[in-house]
Amino acid sequence: MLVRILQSIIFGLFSGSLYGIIGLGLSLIYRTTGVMNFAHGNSGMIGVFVGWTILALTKNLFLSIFLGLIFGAILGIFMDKILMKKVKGLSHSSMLIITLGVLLIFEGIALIIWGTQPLLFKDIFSFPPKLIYLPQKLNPNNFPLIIPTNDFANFLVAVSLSILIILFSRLTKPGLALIARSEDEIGAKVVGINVNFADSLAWALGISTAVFAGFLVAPKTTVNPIMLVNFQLYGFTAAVFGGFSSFIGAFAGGLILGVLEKIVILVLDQLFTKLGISTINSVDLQLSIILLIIIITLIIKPTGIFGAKFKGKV
Amino acid sequence: MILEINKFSVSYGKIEAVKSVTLSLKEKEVVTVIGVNGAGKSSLLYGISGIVEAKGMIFYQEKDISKLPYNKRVKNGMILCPEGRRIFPSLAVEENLKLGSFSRGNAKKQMKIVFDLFPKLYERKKQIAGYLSGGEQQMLAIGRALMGDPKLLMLDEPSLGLAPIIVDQVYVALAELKKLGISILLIEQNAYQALSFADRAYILENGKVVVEGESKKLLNEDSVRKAYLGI
Repeated sequence: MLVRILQSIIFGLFSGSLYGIIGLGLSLIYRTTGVMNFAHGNSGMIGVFVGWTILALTKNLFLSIFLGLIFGAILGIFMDKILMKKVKGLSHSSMLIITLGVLLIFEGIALIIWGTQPLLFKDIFSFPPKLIYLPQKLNPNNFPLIIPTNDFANFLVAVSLSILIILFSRLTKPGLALIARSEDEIGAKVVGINVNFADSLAWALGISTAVFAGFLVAPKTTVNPIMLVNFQLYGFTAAVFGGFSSFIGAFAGGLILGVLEKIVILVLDQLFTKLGISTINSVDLQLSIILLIIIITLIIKPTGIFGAKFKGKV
Repeated sequence: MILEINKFSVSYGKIEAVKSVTLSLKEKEVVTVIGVNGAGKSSLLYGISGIVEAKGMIFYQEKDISKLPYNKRVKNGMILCPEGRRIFPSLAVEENLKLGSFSRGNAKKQMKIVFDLFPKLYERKKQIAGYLSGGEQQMLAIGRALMGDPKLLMLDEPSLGLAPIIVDQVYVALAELKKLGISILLIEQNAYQALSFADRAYILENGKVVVEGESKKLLNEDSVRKAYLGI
């Protein structure tokens, strides 16, 4: 049993790190510009398709990933400068509706250009999985603990990326501009921060992280128009769960969400076996569990598990 | 002249909030603009600092800055302490101040000036700004503006919503700034405070300047006393 719990935690952290970077990107855009970007996953998907095409042409994996990320940044700037230009500052809901439209358009574009056939994407890291045997005392059945090395590498990359983004926002001038802009628009303007620049930066970084997450999952999900639809939902849950108040909260929320999800699946699995239910596979309930977690979080602690540092006027 | 505006107008769509205002400020001078709610005072400051679009002529240190965006104006030392304080609520006091030096000003040097002026802020430097009291937030807002080493400091109703004793404290601090040689453009509803403090004053009504003159004289003028001081 101990092995299964540990195994769930490990798998949970690995998938959670991906939810985390999607959540981080969403939270970056939301906190800075006030827009909940519904097209987040699909923007990432378009970026991965671009990367896939470049890979097919050049056979150079790192160049394609690099150009895919650059494409994501340009796409983000395009969304900010062109699509949001007219409605910026008017209302957040019209900006939100625009992102909903973009979600559908991107899906359509991907279908027209690349078709419905799932395309394979090369593993960024490919190593054989590692097996770890715990000492006999803790592990009477002698089941191995499986560490999928590829996922572990993805996990490390995702963690480093989020640490980099957090350091960037704390230590560099453009990063501080993002923070100030997210705290108060007029306040940012009076200290001389170019708010339009901060907005574009948030979009560029945010969409790039979505593309990045897309590259990490692409070897598993294949490259297809709906590859990141569920991930966007997971990322959104991660951000809600961690509270939109901080970038680090969104990432940590992702990790906790991943672990929680796998543990719930494990518990349900045990329960179903005890009750003799064999028609439901608990893994199929993944999406329902995630949705349930959003609802429960919003009811019990709408500011997220880490809460907001400042909850409005006292 | 550090600031000169001529036929200066600010509009929001079809509503003209500031109508063809002409105003000037000498080096090291303290000028106040007083007027009731909705007279266009805040719009005037937003226009001067470039945060909202304005029409008309504007010269800063004898240079035409009408085409200069707000962030460049800050960089040149025109700093606004805006209406409603607009501090960064979930950051610590110290972080708020550091952001004040985002475009100009030596953070270390300016922070010493700010802490000398407002010792309370020093005591609270690790606290989350949103939880400060109203008076402390106002001090923080003024402190943040000072962090950018202003040549022209524009203050939008620094006494709004504060207890009289705190208002006095804020004005003591402003007097110190005057001694430091900073030119101040002060906007107030609290006409008595503003007129006693400033060298010259403009009275704004419905977006237009209706009276201008030395503030000590205005303080003694019957029409002003009746309309703005309630005496």
